[in-house]
Amino acid sequence: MPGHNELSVLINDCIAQSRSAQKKLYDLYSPAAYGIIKRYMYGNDAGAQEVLNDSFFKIFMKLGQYSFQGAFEGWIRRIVVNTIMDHLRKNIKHEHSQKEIGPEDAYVSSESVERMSYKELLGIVQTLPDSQRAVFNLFVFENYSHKEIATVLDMNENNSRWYLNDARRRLKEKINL
Amino acid sequence: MENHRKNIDDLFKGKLGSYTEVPPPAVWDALEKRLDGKQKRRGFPWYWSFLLVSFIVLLGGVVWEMTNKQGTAPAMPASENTAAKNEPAIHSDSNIHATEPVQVNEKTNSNESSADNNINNKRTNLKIHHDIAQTNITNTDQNDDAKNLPPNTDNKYANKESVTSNSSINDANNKGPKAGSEKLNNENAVLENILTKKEEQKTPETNIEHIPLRGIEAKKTTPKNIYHGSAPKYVAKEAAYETQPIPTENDIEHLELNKIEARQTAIKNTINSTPRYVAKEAAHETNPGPIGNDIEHVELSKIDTKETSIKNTFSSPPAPYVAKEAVHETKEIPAEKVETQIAGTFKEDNAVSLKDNAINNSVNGNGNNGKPDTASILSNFSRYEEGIKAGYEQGFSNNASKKFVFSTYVQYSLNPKFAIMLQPALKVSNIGNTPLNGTQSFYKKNTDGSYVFADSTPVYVIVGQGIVDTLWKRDYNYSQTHDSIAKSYATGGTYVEVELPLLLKYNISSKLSVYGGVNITYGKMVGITENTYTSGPILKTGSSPTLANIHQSAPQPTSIDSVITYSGNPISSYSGPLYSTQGYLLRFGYMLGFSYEFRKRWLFDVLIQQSTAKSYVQGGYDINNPLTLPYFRLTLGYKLGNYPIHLFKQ
Repeated sequence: MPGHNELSVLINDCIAQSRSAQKKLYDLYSPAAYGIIKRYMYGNDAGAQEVLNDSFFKIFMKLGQYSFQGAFEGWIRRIVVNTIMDHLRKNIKHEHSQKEIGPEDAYVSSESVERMSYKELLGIVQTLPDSQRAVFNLFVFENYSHKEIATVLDMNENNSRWYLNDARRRLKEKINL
Repeated sequence: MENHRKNIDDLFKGKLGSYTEVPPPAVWDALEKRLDGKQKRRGFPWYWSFLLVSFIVLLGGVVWEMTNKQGTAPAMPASENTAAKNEPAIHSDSNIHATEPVQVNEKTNSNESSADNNINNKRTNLKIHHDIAQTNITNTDQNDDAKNLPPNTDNKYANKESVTSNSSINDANNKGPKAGSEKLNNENAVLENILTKKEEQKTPETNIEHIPLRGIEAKKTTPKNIYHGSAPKYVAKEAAYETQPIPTENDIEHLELNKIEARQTAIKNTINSTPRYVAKEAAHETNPGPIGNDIEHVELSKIDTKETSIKNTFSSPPAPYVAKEAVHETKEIPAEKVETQIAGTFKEDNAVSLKDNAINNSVNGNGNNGKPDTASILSNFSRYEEGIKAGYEQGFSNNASKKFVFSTYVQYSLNPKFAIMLQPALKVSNIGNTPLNGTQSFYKKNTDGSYVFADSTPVYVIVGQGIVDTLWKRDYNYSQTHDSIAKSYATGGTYVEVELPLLLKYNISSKLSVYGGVNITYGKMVGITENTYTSGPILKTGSSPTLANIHQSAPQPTSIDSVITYSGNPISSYSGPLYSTQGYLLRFGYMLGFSYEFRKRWLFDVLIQQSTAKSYVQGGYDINNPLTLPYFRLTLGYKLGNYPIHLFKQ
């Protein structure tokens, strides 16, 4: 990753619409962004690429708003996740019925997970229904609270909790097979 | 067993939290097009506003030019070239000259009968006119410094200077008409032969006779006053003031007769500095023409008035002022000086229109009524012109180059309206980078790979009935860092072009011209650069157990390369850049432009040029595309010099 000064120059060049600078920024940060998107949309390459396109278009358009205060990676990540959420809101169908949230055993053998490759794990995550996958990703990888998840996914907090528990249960079943 | 169980959230976070994947190149292509669309909408108005401003500037120049032409002399105070305007009307001899041209025809007829009687004396008087004319031309082209001085003062000073230097000529003149008559009779015979040959050429002579009315007119006034018995002092004064009108006639004669001189060296030597005027008069005499025609009137009046002047000068007792005038007017000015300034243009058929304008000005008595006078018009028109130009060129697309242009030009005027121009240019061009498809990703493993023993657990295995064997499972954690390397490609950079346009130029006015033509460009094509982006170190971890009988020693842990694996290609598989560039290109195109002249030597040019180039697609992009776009150029130029035609004829 570029140093602070190099990053400043790069960002300013991007703001000045330098195509080469935009390409460089894209090359630097698109793999991580695409990785995030793939966690939500593994198996849907066309959708993932569309979201990546939207994300970087927003990044380049809003680059002038970046204040150099926080980590640039975090700023990009937030835009990418928000773009994913925009996409998911259009596509996922929520189950609004209240379901009982039972006690869960969230622990699995670490050995089992370690054995698996990235793609296997992503494949397992992909087996989750859209809503559960989104909640699981936001809760685990983005550290969103249930309140925040409920807000971004337009659902109530209990639904978010139920989705999370159900996701964990399903994942555990898959891992222990 | 609980310690082997981890929270599923943490396990997934640990394993997938740092997951990255290089997106396919198509994503960037689509994004780039999207960004292009955004930028084009921003950039487009800039070009249009640029064009609009340039058009307004040009239009302003045209309007200004036309306004200036329509301005009337009487309304303009103290215009630049006219001594008469700087003098009180009563005392100005130029004023006398300017207010009496209407009497030309009357006088022409009345004087016609005396022409033959005075032929021997013409030489002296024509010499006077000739030398005055030369002085005049010099003054005109030297920005009229002398014209702001009182004419009498100027010429008197010149008289004093010329007395000694031309005493021999004066002596010859003072010997009287007889001696000169014999000499001239022979000379005229020779020159008539020459002029007969010249008559066959027709065109130049005809035009010449149309051109110099101002000069003719100036001469008419002088003999008129003498003829009617004006006081002798006016003879001197008016002769002096003949330096004020534009001496076009004399210069034309001078030019024409230069040719004669070249062929008739003997004559030139014989008649010293006067043969040009002798020759001209001979031409008049051989072609008297009908009187009904205005031009012929003028021509005849020229002859007659000259003769009259001569007659008065020589047949009357030599008044002191007349003698002084003659002395002064025999002052020689090097012929080259005159020729350098206005020669070379007078033989053009198409010059008639320009010259006719000047003639009309003269006949109307408004010789310098705020318009460029004959001399200035003609001095602006020279066969050869050269200069330099420098400017900036911008394309009509975001993909276009930005070019700094340095050019020279050489112009050959076919006539006052049309010219052929060569404008070779050196262009230093820079084009922004445009990414190409074909980004390659590689990994480079670092040498910091290691493993550590993490845990060990017994594993009970039933090997037979009632027999249990115990295996010892040892867990090892592995870690290694690597760099992710992306190789991408872009076209762009700096390149140099040489351009050679062949242009036809049309002068809309004396200052504004339009030109267009074909264009050959030779230059290196736009290059392709490879960019390498490296990110890292990126930590990768893994674990692997070993199993062995409890009684056996611990086996060697698994190789790190078997535990930590990488997707993609190692950097060792990189085989060099995907693309290469072509060499040099010869391209053909067109060029259209306007040129506006200001402050006499400065030029402001606006032009459009475009060239063809064969397509060269690399990485999904035609890298020759910027070479084929239309370019808009603004240049500032400076005229280094005008070269009269005679310099090229020798």
